[in-house]
Amino acid sequence: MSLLFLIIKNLFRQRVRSLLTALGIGLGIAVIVALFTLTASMVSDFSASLESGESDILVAQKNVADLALSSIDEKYVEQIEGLEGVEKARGVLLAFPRFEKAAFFVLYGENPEDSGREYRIVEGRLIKAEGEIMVGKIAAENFDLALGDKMRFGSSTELGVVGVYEKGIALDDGAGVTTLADAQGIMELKGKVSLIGVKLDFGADADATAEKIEQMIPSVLATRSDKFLETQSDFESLDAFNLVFSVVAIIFGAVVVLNTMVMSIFERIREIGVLRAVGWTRTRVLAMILGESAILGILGFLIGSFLGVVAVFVLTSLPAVRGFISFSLDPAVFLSAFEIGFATGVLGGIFPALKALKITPLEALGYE
Amino acid sequence: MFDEGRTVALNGVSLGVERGEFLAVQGPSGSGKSTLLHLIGALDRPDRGTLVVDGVDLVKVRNLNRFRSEKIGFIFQLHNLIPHLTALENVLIPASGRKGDFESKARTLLEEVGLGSRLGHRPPQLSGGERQRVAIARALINDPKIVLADEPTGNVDSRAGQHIMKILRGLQSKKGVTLILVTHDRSLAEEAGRTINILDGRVV
Repeated sequence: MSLLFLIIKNLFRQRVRSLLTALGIGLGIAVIVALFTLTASMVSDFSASLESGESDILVAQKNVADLALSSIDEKYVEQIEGLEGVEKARGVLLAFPRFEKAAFFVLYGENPEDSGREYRIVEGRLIKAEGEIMVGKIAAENFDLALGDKMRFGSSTELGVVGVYEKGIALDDGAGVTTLADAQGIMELKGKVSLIGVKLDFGADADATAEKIEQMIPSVLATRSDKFLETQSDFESLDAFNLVFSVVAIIFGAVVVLNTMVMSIFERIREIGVLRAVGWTRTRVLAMILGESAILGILGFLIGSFLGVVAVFVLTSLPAVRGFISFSLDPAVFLSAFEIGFATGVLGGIFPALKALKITPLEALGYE
Repeated sequence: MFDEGRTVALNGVSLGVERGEFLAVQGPSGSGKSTLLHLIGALDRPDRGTLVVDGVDLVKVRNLNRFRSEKIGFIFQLHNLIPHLTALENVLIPASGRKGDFESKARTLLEEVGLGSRLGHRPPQLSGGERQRVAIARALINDPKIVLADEPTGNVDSRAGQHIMKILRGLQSKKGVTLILVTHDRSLAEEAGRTINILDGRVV
């Protein structure tokens, strides 16, 4: 009879208790899976959105906590374009107007014909002049917009919908694009852009050019577009937030396992004494107890992953979120969740296992 | 007995047991019978003196688990079976982790003790006598040279007790196992080849 067989039998002995313990771990794991998946999807969408253009370097204001707060003088676009090795520089304003129908809506202020980003038009056409807007497919559904409809921003600005596009990136498909001048007007940021995308000449050194831009304009941060998200402090904060949640989930889960396993050991003192009396080593008893708690952790991972995926699916289907984060599953998230579930189980089992090791056969056989 | 505040369970005991012998140990409660059994079975160590079992000095040897697993079969008064495991699985417990076809051996042992048809039954589904017979099969799974039985019939009716004693006698006579039986019951002790009496921690 293998040890694994005995471990599973022991867990099946108190099915409801084992299931509730796994569920306790699973709830923590579900939060982690949902949080990590949403974060990973958000980062992935943001990266895809940034990299969907042809920019080699992205320039944003230095020392701002959030990209939404970045504000650069539009005049720097021309100065950057004048640098050696730069083929083209384009300014884009990111505006975040608030609507009741969708909590998150990005309005890009740029000229789509000249933005370097590709928009696949599914209905209508690209914007050509001020007073026009084209919206992503998800935004069109969220706001119930059709060609010819007007979209109102604030009290004075109305933009006419001239096109619907689809990029396959939730962040962009839930957004809208208008001219830079219109976006500046809506946000009252005349002469300002949030980001400058820089396309280099073939063979130009991206790192050296970025350094030159920063020397020329000390108030900006110029980064290769594939490294841009790493420089954003709000994304770093997300990582820290996830770490805190993971630690809390591990502690919570470990306490649940600890409680269950301590109860289980106290109920089985005599049994453990018999195992030792018939020749089981301390190591084997230790492996049995830790094996039971580790399997509870793995069960918690399975339950938590299922619940987490369901939660992500439901959340990303909500109109307020679907234009912001897409439903995509990252295997790395499940690997982390497995590690956390396993660690939770083992951590919760250490104290009961050490308790079991102290049981001598003689004491246990006399225990009632 | 108390010695400077410590309980002395056995004192000045000198005992030799021959290989294949059937020895009965008698004495009143608290006399030290079970302690003697626990020392021989390496469940406890003596504070002083020498204790050699099957050529192994139990005072000096460090790994008592291995000794217990390979040389000793225990039968307790309370069968001490694991309630959620079947009779077959309970018999296999001492062999867990060891290489070999222990499953067929466990089946044979259970058939030998008359439980061939009860392999899949769990202890709560068995009578007291049947549980004790499962415990006997469990004690034999690792082919022990010595079987230590502590009041094996103490918790069963007289008919089941006779059945258990018949099996234990067979172990000694047919398999050459050294059998040490602790019992209160004089009639059971009379079945042994030799009987010793313990009183206040001494052989009398």
